[in-house]
Amino acid sequence: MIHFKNVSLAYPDGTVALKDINLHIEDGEFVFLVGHSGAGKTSLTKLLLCEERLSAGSLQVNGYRLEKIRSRKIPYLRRTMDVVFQDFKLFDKMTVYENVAFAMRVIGEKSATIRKRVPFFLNVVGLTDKADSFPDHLSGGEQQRVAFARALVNNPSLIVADEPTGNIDNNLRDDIMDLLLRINKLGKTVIVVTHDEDLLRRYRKRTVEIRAGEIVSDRMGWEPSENGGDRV
Amino acid sequence: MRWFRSFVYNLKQGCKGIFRNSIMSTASVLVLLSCMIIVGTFYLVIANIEENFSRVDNLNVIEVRIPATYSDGQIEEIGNALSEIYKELTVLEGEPVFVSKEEHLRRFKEQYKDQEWSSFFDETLNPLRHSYELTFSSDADISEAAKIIPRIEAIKLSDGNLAVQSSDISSSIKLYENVAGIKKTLMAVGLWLMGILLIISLFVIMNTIKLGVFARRNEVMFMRYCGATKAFIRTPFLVEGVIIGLFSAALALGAEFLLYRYVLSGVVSSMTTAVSGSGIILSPYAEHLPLLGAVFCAIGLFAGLISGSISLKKYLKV
Repeated sequence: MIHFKNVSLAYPDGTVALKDINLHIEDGEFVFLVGHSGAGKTSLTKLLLCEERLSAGSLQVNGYRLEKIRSRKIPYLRRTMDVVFQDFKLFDKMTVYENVAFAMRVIGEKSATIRKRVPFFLNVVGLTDKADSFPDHLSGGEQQRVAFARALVNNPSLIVADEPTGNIDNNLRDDIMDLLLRINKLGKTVIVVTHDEDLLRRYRKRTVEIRAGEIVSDRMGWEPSENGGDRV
Repeated sequence: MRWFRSFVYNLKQGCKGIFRNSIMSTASVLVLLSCMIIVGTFYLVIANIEENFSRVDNLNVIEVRIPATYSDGQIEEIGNALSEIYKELTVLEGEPVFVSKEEHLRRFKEQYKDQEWSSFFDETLNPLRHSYELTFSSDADISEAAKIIPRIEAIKLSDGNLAVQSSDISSSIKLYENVAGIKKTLMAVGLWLMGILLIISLFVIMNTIKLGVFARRNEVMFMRYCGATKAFIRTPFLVEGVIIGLFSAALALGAEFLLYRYVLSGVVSSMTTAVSGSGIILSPYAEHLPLLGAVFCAIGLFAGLISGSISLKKYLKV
């Protein structure tokens, strides 16, 4: 469960990135987070990851109160979620299998557990036969699926996908969205950060629009918000 | 057991890191090695000076020779005054010891027993004088020991005259002072060089590790997002620093052994030949090995841990 209550974020240089955010996301929800560049989407994601500390208000994420969380607890908060980046951040010198296993290794999982779980999640994303390939030899869509397998392997309850359809063609976009919906059906909360209007129209899900650091709409499905025809 | 698995994993990663930046790792080892060799050489020179010095007898003895004309009562007066000095100055090891001129003659004949002329002297022909001997502790502060001489020169007999002249007092305090000065200078030079080289070593190791961190910056970032603890992220880089440090320490011990055996002993043997009978002896290397080993390992660990920690600071802020 994610609960923002009057949350603000100001950077040391005085820039106010988020203003008085109130948002509640239940466990197992699927949410699109939309907004144009500089609107505050990244800042909001950074708050969830505790990469930035909120300046005011209170924020609860997966049972952790982020306004008072101690530094040594942050790694444990991060183990409850995973982020799939737009550029995937796969490691070139590791095979697909090693890339996925790495996420488990860094939290000290047993080799036996790694050997069991990695093939399972490679199967979930349909990449069993690519386990020994290196990321350079995969297509963009396949690389993205590796990133999703890596995000899922530690069984997080929240997945944040940053522009998941930004780098791929329309056919692959549907594959990725199907995968995200399947992940959501497994009971995981999914937040998709995007500015792809077409995607928002095709998949009618809860959509939170953020503009100039403020939430301007929070509704089911996508409609461009009133004033001035601002497009995401 | 989770921590143990993580530790083994990180140990492997640390070893890999060394070979990832092999050129910089070699540079780090060489700089640290130079630092350790300089520290070790200065230590060995100082230790041997001290060792040889302690082998020479009576260097810490002050002899007060009693003028031949003095009566038994005057000799006793001097003895009492010297006892007072002993009570006041903590550098003296014991009460003044009276040595008769007969004892001096015996020692003299013993020392020169191989010389024919020594047999000319006997109890009827004894030019030596009674004396008092004051012994100051060999590890005493030399400036404190130097205070003894003026105190002896100031001793007055009951008739108001000074008991002894400066020429009646024989001591090796000047020699002690000179050697202490040399030791101090060597120590200061050694420490300065060690300090400078240690700082250079820190920078070189830091850069080596920073290169490793930079090459793995995406991994480090990903580890943070995955929920790896700071200790987990830091360990491979610390291991890398520590291995560089300890490997340098082992090399330095070997290099120091070769230097000691072939260079220092060569210098000493040429000095012994030049100064006939100087009898300078090098203590065995094994005697210094535990201390040198401990110091080298401490320097290596310190340099490795400090540089490892500093290099990663930027990447572990959140």
